[in-house]
Amino acid sequence: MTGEKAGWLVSPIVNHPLGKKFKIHKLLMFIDYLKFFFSFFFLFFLPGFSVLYLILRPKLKISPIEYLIFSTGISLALVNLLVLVLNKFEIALNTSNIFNAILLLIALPLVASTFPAWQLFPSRKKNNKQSAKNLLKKLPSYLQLTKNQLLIASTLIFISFFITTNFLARDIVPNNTDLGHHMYWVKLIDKTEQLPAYDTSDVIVGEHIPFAVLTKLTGISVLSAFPVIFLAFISFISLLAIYALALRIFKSQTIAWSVFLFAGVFDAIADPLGKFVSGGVVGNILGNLFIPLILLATYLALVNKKSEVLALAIFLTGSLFYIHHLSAFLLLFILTAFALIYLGINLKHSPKILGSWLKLLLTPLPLIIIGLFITTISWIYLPHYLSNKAVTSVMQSPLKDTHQGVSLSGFISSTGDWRTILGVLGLAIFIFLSIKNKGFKKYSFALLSGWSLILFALSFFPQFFLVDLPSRRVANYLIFPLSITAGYGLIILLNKLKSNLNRQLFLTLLLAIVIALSLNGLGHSLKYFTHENQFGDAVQLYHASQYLDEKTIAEDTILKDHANLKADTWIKFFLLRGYNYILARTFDYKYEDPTKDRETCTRDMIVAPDSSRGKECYQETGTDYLILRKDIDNFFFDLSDNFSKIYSNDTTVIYKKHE
Amino acid sequence: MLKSIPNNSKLILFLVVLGFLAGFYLFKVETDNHNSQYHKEWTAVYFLNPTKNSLAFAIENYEGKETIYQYSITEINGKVITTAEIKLSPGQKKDINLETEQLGEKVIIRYNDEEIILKRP
Repeated sequence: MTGEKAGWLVSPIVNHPLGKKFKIHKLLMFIDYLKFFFSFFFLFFLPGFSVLYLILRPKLKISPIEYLIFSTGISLALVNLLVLVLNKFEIALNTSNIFNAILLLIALPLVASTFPAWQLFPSRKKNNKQSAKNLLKKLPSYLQLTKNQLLIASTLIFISFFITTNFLARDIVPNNTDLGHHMYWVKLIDKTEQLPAYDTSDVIVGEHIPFAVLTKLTGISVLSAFPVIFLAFISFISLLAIYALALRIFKSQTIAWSVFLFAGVFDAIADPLGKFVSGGVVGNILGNLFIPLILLATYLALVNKKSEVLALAIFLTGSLFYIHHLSAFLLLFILTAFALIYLGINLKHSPKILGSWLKLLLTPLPLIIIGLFITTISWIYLPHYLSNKAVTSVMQSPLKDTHQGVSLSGFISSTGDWRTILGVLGLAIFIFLSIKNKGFKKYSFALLSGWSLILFALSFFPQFFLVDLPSRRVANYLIFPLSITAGYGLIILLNKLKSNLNRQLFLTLLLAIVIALSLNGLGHSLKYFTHENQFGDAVQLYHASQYLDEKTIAEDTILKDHANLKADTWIKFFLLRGYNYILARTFDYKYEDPTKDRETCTRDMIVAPDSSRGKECYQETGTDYLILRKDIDNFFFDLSDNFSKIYSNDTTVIYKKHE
Repeated sequence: MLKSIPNNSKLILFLVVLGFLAGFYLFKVETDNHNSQYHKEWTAVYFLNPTKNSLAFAIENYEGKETIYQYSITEINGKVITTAEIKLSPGQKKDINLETEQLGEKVIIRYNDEEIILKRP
């Protein structure tokens, strides 16, 4: 059989005694990794950095971490846009076209920045000659790290990486459901060198382009660790975005790193972080980067009255519509709540404020970006979910139980006890202190309270907003604002204790808090510090899938047992015969869902193949191959005269129906 | 030299190094484990031509050790037509084409206390 990672060209070298002696395969693996790492830098840092260099740097002082997070977000948005444009003009999405176009994308803003007309900042020339150290010194003091803060930050980052990496390593051979769905489309783009015609609203083109360009540029199959590593990098950058946003809101490194503690260290492997990365929940991971970036850009634009930064926020928002519909949808609610709360607390001046926002918006760069968005959506590429009923089906009274709000206990168990308690407490303290303090930062207040409160409302009472979405998924978006308020609440609490207690008592209490938080926050992560070999199932499923690919043709109909097979969504990745080509028997409860009229043939053909209903279904669907979990529901097939077992390994069997 | 680097830049440097190492570790774990033989014990048996009404079959040994496979061809009533055994080294694949296959209905493969029965398609 031909392997997905066969590498026929290099395998003679690897398998040669000399190749084995010098461990050539390890060298090749390292080279592959270097290709991935530098391609990530080339694709998802440099384009954004060069654009930032052109438009932002002269206008606003931002920290190196803000450079990093914005560069990544802008790069993702630019690469998506670039591929959409190339595809529109029927330019093949091959390695050389992608490489040249990205190179142009990086070079153009850098070249443009050398023209006098683009030198937006008069003293820029002088600034260029200054050292990085001097430039950093010009940053507001709260954006700079002291030696102790650097030590704390490095420790927290190390723990976060350590926990997440250990968790991801346990499940790193691709097998998860969502990742399998997405990588099917990526492989299709890779093979056809054009964007596919999507026939499902479950996925969006922006979820696949980053992987497609990475696989094209590196030549590494997505049936490897790289999709998960890519998502892990993006997820980590989103944690930095939360830190950066908290730093701008509270102007305190202590609070910002406390926020990082709640966002990236405690429950680091829970939804929507580690588990989403491992599961390949691509849209959510990307959405979790874009939402804080857009909020940070909007905040910076409004506070500093910078139209260029507002243009950046609009550009990222437009891009989010091509990446993840749920995130984009919720972002609109968050921005609306932010604006309404700000106008509400400045009711007397609201017409003036609206005027100043409009003035900021009606400047060249934001208008160009809005024009670009309209052109993209109306002419270049319309996301599939906008062209069907996906949007209207969301804007209605919720029908399912799971769409009618999360329960408090369910919410706390998924968010983390301490994060919820301190988060709610922190939010209450933040609102109370902000209102009490006459000179409070109104934008910070409106942003954080608007973000938290609207998501609370949508999670617990979606019926008031006519939003028909899985409430648990909406509640996942609360993790970030709750982490911010929890981090804030913890520092306020500790400061209060420090000023009211003697040193000894304070230190005892501090120790108790640290132990309680660590046990609760790290407890879930610790149980994953065992290394069982879970990869046998996935590798055997790949083997069976290759067999199906080689022995069946597109006219055959294949049924799989999704309820029992591990990694089954990857079968279509090997066959590449259509997203819905394979019929799937799903979980029993789904057949009994009263809100959905569902066919039962996919179940009946497996549980009762020789019954009259089963036979009827085989005739109706034309199913002639079945791929099942070994020793589950095999009994009737083994006894039947109508089926033959044609393939078997330790986990998977394939049956052929007699003609 | 490190002293001259601002703390903010040091943090970015630390992030890049840590990200590189964490990513490499994951990449290595995946590459090692993606291998059919690495820390795994399994066997695959399958018909080579399932659409051609043939009993030609293959055995692939990923048991991690040399394994003896005994196979028999039987008629529909269970009568054994032919029996043989082969020894496969780890990672070895063997295609088995039988001259007496026209007569048989089933292929029974036994190894390490396991039994797999393939039935003529």
